[in-house]
Amino acid sequence: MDDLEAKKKLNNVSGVENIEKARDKGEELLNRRVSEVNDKLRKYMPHTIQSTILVAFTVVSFTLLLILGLMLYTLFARRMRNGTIEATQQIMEQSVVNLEDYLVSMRRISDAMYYDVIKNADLERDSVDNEMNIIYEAHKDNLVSLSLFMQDGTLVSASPISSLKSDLRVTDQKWFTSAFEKMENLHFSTPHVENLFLDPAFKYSWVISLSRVVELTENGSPSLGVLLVDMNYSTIKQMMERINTDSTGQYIYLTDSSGNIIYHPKQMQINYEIIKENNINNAHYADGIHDEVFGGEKRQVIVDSISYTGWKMIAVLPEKAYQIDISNMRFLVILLIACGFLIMIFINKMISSRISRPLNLLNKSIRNMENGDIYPEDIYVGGTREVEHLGKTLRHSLGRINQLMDDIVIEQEEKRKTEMDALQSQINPHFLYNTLDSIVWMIEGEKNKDAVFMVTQLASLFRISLSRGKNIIPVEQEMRHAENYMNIQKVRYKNNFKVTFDVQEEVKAFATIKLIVQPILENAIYYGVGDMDPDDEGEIIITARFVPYGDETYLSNGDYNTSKKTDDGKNGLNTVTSAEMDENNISLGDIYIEVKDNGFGMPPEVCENLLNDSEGTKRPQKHGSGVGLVNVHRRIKLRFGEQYGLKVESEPDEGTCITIHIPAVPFNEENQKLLESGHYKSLRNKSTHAASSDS
Amino acid sequence: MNEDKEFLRPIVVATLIVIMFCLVMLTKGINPENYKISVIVSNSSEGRWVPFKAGLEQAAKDNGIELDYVYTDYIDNIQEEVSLINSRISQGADGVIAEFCLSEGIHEIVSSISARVPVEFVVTTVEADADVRGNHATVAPDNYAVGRAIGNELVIDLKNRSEEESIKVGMVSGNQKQFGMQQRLKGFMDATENLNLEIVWNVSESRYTDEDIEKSDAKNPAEVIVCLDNDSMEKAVDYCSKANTENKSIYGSGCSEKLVYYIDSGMIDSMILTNDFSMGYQSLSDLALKLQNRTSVLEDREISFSVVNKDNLFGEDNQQILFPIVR
Repeated sequence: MDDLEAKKKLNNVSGVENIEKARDKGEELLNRRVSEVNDKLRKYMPHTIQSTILVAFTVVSFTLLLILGLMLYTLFARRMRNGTIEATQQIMEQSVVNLEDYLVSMRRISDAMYYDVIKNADLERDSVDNEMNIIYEAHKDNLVSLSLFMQDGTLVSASPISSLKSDLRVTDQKWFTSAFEKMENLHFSTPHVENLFLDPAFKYSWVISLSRVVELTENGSPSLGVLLVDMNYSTIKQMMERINTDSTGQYIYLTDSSGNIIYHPKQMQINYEIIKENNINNAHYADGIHDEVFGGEKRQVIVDSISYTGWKMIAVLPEKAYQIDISNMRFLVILLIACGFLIMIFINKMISSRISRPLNLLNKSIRNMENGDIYPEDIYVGGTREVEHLGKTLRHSLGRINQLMDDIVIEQEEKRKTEMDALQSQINPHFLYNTLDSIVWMIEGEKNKDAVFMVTQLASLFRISLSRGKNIIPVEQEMRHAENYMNIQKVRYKNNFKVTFDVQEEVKAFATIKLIVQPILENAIYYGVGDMDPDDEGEIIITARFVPYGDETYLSNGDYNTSKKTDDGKNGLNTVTSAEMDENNISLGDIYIEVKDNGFGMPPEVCENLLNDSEGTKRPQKHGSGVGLVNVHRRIKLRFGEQYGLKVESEPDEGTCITIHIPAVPFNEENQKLLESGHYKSLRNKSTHAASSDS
Repeated sequence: MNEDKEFLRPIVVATLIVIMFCLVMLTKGINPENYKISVIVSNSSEGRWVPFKAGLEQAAKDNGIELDYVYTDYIDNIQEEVSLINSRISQGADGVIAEFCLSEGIHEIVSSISARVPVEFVVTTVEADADVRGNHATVAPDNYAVGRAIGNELVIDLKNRSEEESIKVGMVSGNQKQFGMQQRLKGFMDATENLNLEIVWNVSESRYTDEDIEKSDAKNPAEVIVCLDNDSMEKAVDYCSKANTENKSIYGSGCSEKLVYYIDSGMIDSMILTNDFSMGYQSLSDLALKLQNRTSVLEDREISFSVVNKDNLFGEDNQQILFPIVR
C-alpha cells in the first residue's frame, strides 16, 4: 500500500513536473514567436530620418484629413438634414393647404346641395334630382356619387342615377352612423369601397364619404336625413403620390384623428404585415417635429393637422435619408482617397527629403572622413542652423585633427632627427681620431694595458651609443657610457681634472634616453675644466638621485640641490620641482642627474640663453660633438614632456651645474616600448588633464 | 534612401493598383444591376390577375426590379408556354414567374429553365427534380385547404338538407392538368364526403368551357355549381346570368371584381378568396432577393385565403384584397 501510495505520489510529482515543463515550453515557444513577429515588424519600421519624417508626416496629414473629412461630412450631413426637414415641412405645408382646399371644395358641394337645394325643397312635391345631377356633373372628376337618404335609410335621390343594392342596410354603414353621432358636424370617413350602388360594369370605387345630417321637409313636416358626398379617393391618392417621390426613404402619409391610415405609400405591405408603421402613435403627436425610434431605426416625424377633418399629415424622415448615399460613388470616393494618398506621399517625400538632405550630406561627409579621404573644406556646412553648426564644428575638428597629426609627424621627425644627430655625434671624427691617436700613442709607447683600457672604453662607449638601435636604456648604461667617455677624456687630458660619479644604486634601474649625460660632460670639459691648470684642481661631479613622488622632506632639506638662492630669498628649490604624480603609475617619481664642474662658468646672459634653440645651434663648435645641450634638452622634452629637461646654473669663475630632470620610469620591456613609441608623453598629458579636471 | 524605397514601393504599388481598379470600374459604368423579371400566366389581362399584378408592381417598385408582365391569351399547351418563357430569357429576363398549365411530366423542362434563371411557380406546384441550388420554388395557397373550404361552405349552407336527398352538383374543375386544381378537387370531395352529393357533370377548363357548361347543364341540370378557380367561376356566373337560373347556387374560389359583383348581387353565395396580391408581391420579392444574392435559396411560400360572402364583402381586410387598385 505504501509502495502504491509512494508510486502515486511519484506519479503525481512527475505529472506536475511534466505539466510545468510543458507550460515552460509553451511560454518559451510563445516568446520565440513574439520575438519573431517583432523582428519581422522591425524590418518594416522606418530607420532613417527621412523615412521617419515621411511616415510621421503622412500619418499625421492623413489623420488630419480624415478628421477634417469626418467633420465636414458631419457638418454637411447636419446641414443637409436641416435642409431636408425644412424642405419637407414646406412640402407638407403646401400639401396640407391643397388638401384643405380640396376638402373645402367638397364641403362646399355638400353645403351647396344642402343649403341651396334640399333646404328649399319639399320632398313631397319637389324633386332634387336635377339639381343633384347638375352639381354632380359639375364635379364628377372628384366625385363618385351624391346621394340623399332619409333617416330610415331610404334613398331619396342619387346622382349618378343608380339603384341601391338589395338587402343593403344603409343605416348600419359607418358614414351614416357617424353623421348622426354629431349631427352638427360634417363627417369625413376613411377610404373605403363604395357599397351602395351596383355597377353593371363591375366597377367598384374607393371613396371618402362626406356625410352630414340634413333637415328635410316632407309635406311641410321636418325630418332628418343624411346627405352623402362620396369623394373619389383617387384624387387624394394622386395628391399624396405626387409628394411621395423621394427615393431616400422618407415618405408622407395621411391618417384620421385616431391614427387609421387614409393614405400610405406602402399601404398594402402594412395590410399584409410585411412592414409596420407607427401610425397610431404618430397621429397623437402634437403638430411639429418629433424624434422617435421605431423598428430599431432612428427617425424624425413631422406632424401637421388638416383643418375640418382632424386628419393628420405625417412625414417620416429616417436617419438613413440624411446620410449621403455614397454606395454608388464608392469607386469614385476610393479613387479620390487613393489619389489624395499618393499625392500626400509624394509631397511628404519632397518635404522630408528637403529636411533630411543637409543631415544626409553631413552624414556622407562623416563617412568620407572615416575613409580618410576628405579635407575640412569638403565637410558639408549648410541646412538649418543646428546642422550648419554641426558641420562647422566637424570641419574645425577635422582641421584640428589634421593639424595635430601634422604636429605629431613633425615631432616624430624632429625626434628622429635629434636622435640621429646625437648618434652621429658619437662618431664625430675629431673625437674618434683623437682617441685612436691616443691609443696609437699608447701602443707605440708600449703602454699596452692603457691601450687595451682605451680600446675597451671606446668599444663600450660605442656599444652603448648604438644600444642596438634603441633610444631608451637603463640609467646604469647611460652612466657607464658617461664613465667610458670620461675615462677616455681623462687620458686625453692627462688627468688634469678629477671626475666623481655619485649614482644612487636605486637610480640605475630606471630608464632614460641615451646620450644625454655625455654631451653635458663634453661641455663641462670643453667649457669648464678642460683648459684649467692642473693646480686649479678642476673637478666634475656627476650625481644621480631618485626622488619619489610626495617625498617633500627630501626636497625641503636641500640635500641634492645647490645652495643657490633666488632673489626673493627662497631656496632655488622651486626651480626644480617634483613632477606631478603620474596617475598611470608608470613613473614613480623624478630622477635628477647633475653634472657639476668648478670651471670657468658662464655669464648670466649666456647661461639664460644656453638652452634656446637659436643660441645653442649657432654656438661655435670648437671642440665638441656639435650636438650640444639644446639637443639633449629638446630630446628630453620630446620624449618625456615639457616639464622635464635641463636646467643650467652657472657663475663665472665659480663653475657650472647642469641638472637633467627626467621621470623615474622603471626600466622594463614594457616601459621601454612605451617610451620608444612616444606614447608616454600623450599618456602623461591625458592623466594630467584628468587630474586638473577633477580638481 | 534604399530603405525608403523598400518601405514606400509596396505602398505606392498597392495604391496605384487601387487607382487603376477604380478607373476601370468607373469607365465600365457604376450603374447598379437592374434585373428584369418576366411574368407568364394564361390570359394575363383578365380581371382575375388584377390583384396579382398589383402585388407584382408593388414588389417591383420596392425592389427596383424591371417588371415584364407578358400579355398572353389562353395558354393550354406547355410547349407554347415554354417557348414563350425561353424567348423572354433570351431577351434578357433574369428571372421568371409562371403559372404552368401542366404540372406532370415536366421535370426536364423545369430543370432546363431553372438551370438558366431562377423560377417562381405561382398558383400550383409542378413536378420537378430535387432542387439542390434552390433555383425554383412555388408561391401558392394550400390548394387542398382551398378545396376543403369550398366544400365546407357547401356543407354549412346545405346542412339542413336531408341526407337522403342527393344534391346535384355540377363541377367546373378548372385545369385538372395542374396539381393545384387536382388538390382542390380532392379537398372539396373530402370535405363533402358526408354530404350526399351527386356530381352530375364535371367540366374541366378548356377553350370551350362555357359551351361545355351549357351543354352539360342542359343535359343534367345541377342545383349547385362548384367552381374551383376564378375562370371557372366567371364562366359559371356568365352561364347562370344568361340562362337566368336564379335557383342555382354557385360556390367556388376567385378574386376578380366581376365575381365580387355577383357576390354583391347575390348570385354567388360565397367565395374562397385567395390573397393573390400577396402571391404576386411575395414571388417577385423572393426572386429579387435571389437575383441579388445568387447563393440564397428560393423557398416555397403559402399564401392565405379567406371566405367572402355578401355580409363580409366590404370588410376592411377583404376590401384591401378584393380592390387593390384605386381607380
